[in-house]
Amino acid sequence: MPIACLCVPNFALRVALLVRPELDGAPLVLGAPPEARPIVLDANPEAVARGVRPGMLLREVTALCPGATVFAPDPLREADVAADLVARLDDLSPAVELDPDDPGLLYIDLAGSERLLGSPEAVARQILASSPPLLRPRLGVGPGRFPARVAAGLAPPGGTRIIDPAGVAAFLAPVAVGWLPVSPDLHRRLERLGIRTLGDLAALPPGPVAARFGPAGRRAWDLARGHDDTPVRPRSRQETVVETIELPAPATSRETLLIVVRQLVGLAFGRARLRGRAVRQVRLRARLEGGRSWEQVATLKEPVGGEDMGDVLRRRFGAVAIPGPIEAVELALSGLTRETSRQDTLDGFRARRLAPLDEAVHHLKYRYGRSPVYRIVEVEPWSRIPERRHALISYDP
Amino acid sequence: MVAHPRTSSRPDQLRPLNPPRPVRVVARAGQPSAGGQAIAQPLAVIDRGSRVAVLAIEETWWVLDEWWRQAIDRWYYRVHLADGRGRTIYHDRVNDTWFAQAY
Repeated sequence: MPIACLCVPNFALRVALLVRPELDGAPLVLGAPPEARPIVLDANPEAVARGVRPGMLLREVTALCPGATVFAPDPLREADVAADLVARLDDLSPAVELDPDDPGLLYIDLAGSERLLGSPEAVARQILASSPPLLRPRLGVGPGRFPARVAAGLAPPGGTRIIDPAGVAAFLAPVAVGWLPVSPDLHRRLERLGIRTLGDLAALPPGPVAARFGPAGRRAWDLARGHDDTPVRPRSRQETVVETIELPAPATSRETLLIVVRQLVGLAFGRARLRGRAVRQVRLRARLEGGRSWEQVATLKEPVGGEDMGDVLRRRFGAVAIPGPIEAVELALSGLTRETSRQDTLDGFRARRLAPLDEAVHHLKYRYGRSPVYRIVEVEPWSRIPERRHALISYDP
Repeated sequence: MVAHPRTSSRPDQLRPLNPPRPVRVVARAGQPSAGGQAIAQPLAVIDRGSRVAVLAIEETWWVLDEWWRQAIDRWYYRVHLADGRGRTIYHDRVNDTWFAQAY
């Protein structure tokens, strides 16, 4: 199963360079958003070479690397660039997966692509050509996700590393076990036992590895030998309703944001696609003055319809810190479903039908010694513990 | 709503509805997040002898309750499985066990 992995290290910083290409090669730091603790979220190799590390306070950066440029996260632009990358790769393969935890990591299933696109080298060239060169993408091609991921990580910036299926074990053997996607605890245990490379791990018999490290260890052993049959999971195409309002003047108050959100909810639920339907996820994005952006995502416990959405969003976003003057607000509603409601009484249980039911239950009770019919009663319908909300009680007229 | 049945409820007749059902879950130990939580990542659900891979985690939420007595500490996952079904499972972080339960 040939799989390609396109890796853009320091994705947010590379995206920032698309706007300020003159800073390419200079030390760059990604700072936390203004409302969060002022720490370094990411640093490019030039900044790391000067001692900057993710997690340190931003004021330490000034002392270590005075020439560093600090960028604030721009989730809107990052999402757009990632979506654009996926859209371009969609033309090459029907199965393209964007890693949900790392927007700079994409997997492309190349099964059956040789006849359409040519040799692996030709496919690799086309994949790299679909990405802006300033992102410096690295491409790895291998017979599985893990070999492809390692190959991408070891490829030069803007370059490709193609692993022949027959040579995958030899390729992985000298690679450090740190590449394995396992828990830090398992990493520590492996290193404590002197297992430093994938070759060290692959050389061990599988039984004792599984016995010592459990299923995670067995999976690590498989990966170390180059066996990874995890498929590329193409993203599901979600139906989404998006509404945007441009503000006449940049707004800084939370009240204004909430009024705009209420207006957006009205617009969205006024559309035919949302009529009589409910929503499970809400994404609120704002374009800020100075080209920055801000994003909040709320996943709702229960689908919410048009009548309640305004209040729900007021509660959700009523306490958010607005990081700057807002120029435009976008509301995206996804996870569309039929409007839900609490189950009403079944027809057969309405009062007028109780007499025959009671008689039937009497018969059953006489036959089985107890009533085998139950009804549902509310116990703690507000409880967060599902089994506490309702109970079955014997229906014994 | 259901009409009152004219009989008193007896505690011994109450049966829990929607109780959690133990399932085996293959999970990857989680990385500690910014909040200090290490959240396991389910990879496959083994239920009634068959193993089904988790394709996507659609939603997660944390239920921490009754910490003043016997704490209930659960991480719920709404997962999309390889057989096309959606399941809600949770990780009982007190006993390190997994259950399936509609939420």
